[in-house]
Amino acid sequence: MTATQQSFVDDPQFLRHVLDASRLLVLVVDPHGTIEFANRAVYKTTGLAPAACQRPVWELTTFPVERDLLRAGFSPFRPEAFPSGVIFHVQGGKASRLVDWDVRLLGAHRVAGLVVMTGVDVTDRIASQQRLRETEEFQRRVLDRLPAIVWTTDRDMRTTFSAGGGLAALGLASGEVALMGTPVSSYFQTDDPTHPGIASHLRALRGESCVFEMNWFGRHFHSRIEPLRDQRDDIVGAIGLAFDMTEQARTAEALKSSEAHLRRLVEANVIGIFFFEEHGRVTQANQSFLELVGYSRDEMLAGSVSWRAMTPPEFRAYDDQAIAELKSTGRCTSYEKAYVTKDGTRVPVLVGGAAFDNVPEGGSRENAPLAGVAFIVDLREQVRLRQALDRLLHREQRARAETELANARLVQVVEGSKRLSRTMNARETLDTLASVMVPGLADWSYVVHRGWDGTALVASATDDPHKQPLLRALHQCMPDPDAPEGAPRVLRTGEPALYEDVTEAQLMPDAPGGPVVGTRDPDHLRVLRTLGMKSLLCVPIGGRTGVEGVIMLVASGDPHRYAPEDVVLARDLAARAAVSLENGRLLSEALDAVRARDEFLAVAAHELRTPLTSLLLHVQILSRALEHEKPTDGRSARSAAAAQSQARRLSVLVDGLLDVSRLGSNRLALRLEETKLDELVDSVVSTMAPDFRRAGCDVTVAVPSDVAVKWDRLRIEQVLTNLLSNAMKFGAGSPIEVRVEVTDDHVEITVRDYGIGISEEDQARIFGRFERAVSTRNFGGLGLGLFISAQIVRAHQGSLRVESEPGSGACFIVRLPRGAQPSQVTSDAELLH
Amino acid sequence: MGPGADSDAADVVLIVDDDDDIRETVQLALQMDNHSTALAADGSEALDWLGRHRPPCLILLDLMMPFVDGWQVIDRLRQDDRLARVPIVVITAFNRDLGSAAELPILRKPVELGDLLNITNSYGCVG
Repeated sequence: MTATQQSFVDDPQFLRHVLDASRLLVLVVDPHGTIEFANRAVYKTTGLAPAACQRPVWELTTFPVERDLLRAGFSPFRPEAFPSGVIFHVQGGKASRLVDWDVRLLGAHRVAGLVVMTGVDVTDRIASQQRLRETEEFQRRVLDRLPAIVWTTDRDMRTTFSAGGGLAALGLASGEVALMGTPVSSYFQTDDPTHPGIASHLRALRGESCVFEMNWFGRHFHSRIEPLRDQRDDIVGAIGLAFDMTEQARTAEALKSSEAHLRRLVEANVIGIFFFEEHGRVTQANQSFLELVGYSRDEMLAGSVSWRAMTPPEFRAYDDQAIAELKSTGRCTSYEKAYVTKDGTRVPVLVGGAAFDNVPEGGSRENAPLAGVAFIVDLREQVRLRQALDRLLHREQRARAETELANARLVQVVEGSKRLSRTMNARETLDTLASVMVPGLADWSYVVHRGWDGTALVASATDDPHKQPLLRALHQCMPDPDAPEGAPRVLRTGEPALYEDVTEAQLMPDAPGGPVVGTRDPDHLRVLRTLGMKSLLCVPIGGRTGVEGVIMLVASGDPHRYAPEDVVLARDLAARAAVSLENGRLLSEALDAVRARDEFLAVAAHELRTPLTSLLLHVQILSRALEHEKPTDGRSARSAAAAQSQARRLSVLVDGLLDVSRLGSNRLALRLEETKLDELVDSVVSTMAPDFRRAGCDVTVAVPSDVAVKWDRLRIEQVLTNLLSNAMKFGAGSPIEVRVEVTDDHVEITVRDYGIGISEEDQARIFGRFERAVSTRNFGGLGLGLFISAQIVRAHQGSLRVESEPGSGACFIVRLPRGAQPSQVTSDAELLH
Repeated sequence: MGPGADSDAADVVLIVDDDDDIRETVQLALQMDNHSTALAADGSEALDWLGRHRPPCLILLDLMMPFVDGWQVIDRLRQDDRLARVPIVVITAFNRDLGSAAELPILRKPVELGDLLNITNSYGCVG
């Protein structure tokens, strides 16, 4: 027995010391469960005082379940119920501790039924195991959140571990048992050692790290394979990490595409883009903007492009507003402005912008200098389009206005023609014509007409009362009838003249090519200038004898301007006026003819009654003389002779009427005969000699002898008788001269008197039927003499004319061919028949 | 003085007509009743005669005459105190617009011999 062994025997405390030195918890419990002994480790672990002995063992645990379990083994005592290796919590200082108990029945001992419980404090071990488990779980959970797969293989490239969210994408669960031991090659579905997946694993097993990209089950993975080493740094397998890059690839693709879009936007130069600083500098810009404003990239980089400097003053307020908006909201509403380009032209643009967020820490955006990006849309095309649209709109409005104007004019023309058709004389027609054109067709109008009797008529109209005196003044201004342009030209050519834009120079008398209105002097020019003439249209008024007048339509102010379609309208009006004038003329002629006929009938009645009076009185005198049976006194003989004479006189008058009737119906036939000129003249003069004596007229005759003519002798005698009767009637008491001149083929007979003469006006009408120059109150006669004479002379292809001045006699000249051709007299007026 | 003015007596009938035949025929007719007559070939001759003779008992006046017509003669006589009351009978072929002559007695041509003598006698002209 060694000393130690001896100690166990000798010293009852020795065992106790040994037990106290043990880290094991040692309890000795009696069959009632009362703790008989506890070593130091028990006190230390449970925190109980040694006084805890003699207490039931189950009180050591703080957990009621464990307490019940322990107590169940002692009452009644059933040592077999003690589950060995069960961990019980024991009361501790601060926290309960876990103790792994080994319970044994101490059967061979003197004290039967004692139980020895030895326990090991496993609190720390279990805690660390727990922590490890939690860490692994956490790692797996983390890995499973990753869009990646982590796996390990052994040296035979069999899977030993797998985790990661990427697995779900492959339809596998994290850490799935089925994966364990599966050869990697089966995932790649190939044994090909050059397959990047296989090759990478092989290289990792040789100690290399490698990465490869591959598409796997429709997803894109970025994989990294490295050798897996143990604690001794030996390669035991491979560890793989595959990132599922599918989304990133898509994002990258999207980013790339959006970047490309942006780049395209910038490079397409559809819009101008520039980076700016608040004070004005343009720091960067795309080509579009640079081209728009006309600066080079170098100039921009040199800092010489300033958006402020390029902005015209009127847009500065807008810019300030935009800057304020950028500062407060970071962006600004787009607005229209203009830039002045390098070459000084103005470019309309639409501008919008965004601020760069460069607000300094603790500073406010309002106070910080602003920088940002501006987007510029070139509005030149839009402005052009807008202007084109405006122009179209304007044109459309103008067209509508013109249509309305044209309608108004049409109404005016219709109205005007109604009024024109009601006018009955030239004066009224021209006044109406001038006034219907104002104001629809003209600001002022001026109408000139030659008149039917050669007297020019002028009419004018304006709706401006201030211009009335000017128009009256214009009536006094006689335009140059030979002027090459304007109304004189229209009168000459019968073609309308349109002067769309009349310049001041065209009114001047010395205008190149002639003044448009035949201006002759400064007064005329002054009147025209004051009236105003911006556009002029002259149209002819036609008539039986060609152009008889001119209508001048004048626009004196803007915007009216004559166009070719106005010519049509004005000509239409002129045509209506011409019809009206012609109607008026015809009416006037008809009225004149009726008046002349009435006059003639009155005169004819008078003339017939005069010999009738005489005849009747003589017959009654004779009859009374016969009643008184004094048949042969001188009175009766005188009456009988007078009655005969009056009857002859009546016969002559009736012959005259018959001649007129024949002339009117073209039945004057000539009986041409060879006759001696001097015989003819002498015969007439001698027949009339008693009349000349009675009228106190000395007649001188100068006629060449031996000139033969071939005329209707009786008719020519009638002509001479008529002319001599007139000379005697109107030149009583004055001499009468008859002179005959002969050329090779013509004879001119002149009958000259020194009587009352004939006015120029009357000279034109005395050869008309029933016309007379003198009042019927003073001179008798049917007024047929000159008419019949003129017709007879015409029938001989000759002419009859008069030269006279009032107060100094008249000279009638008959010009006849020596040998007339037989022809019929034509006559135009047929009123009596 | 026109031809045939055969009296300066108070009961002379002045015949004024530019037509020789009418003048002479009327004179011949009045001579049948033994009236004294004076002749004038137009208005101026008539006025001239009237200015130089005692007023006649009647003036037979044509209207349509050259130079001074019948109307003018009427007007002149009305303005002449001495001659204003001399009776005038108008002899005319004119049948309209007699004007101032319309108020006077009128013998229309062709004139009936009976009418001519009756009207002349009615003015108290003594044949």
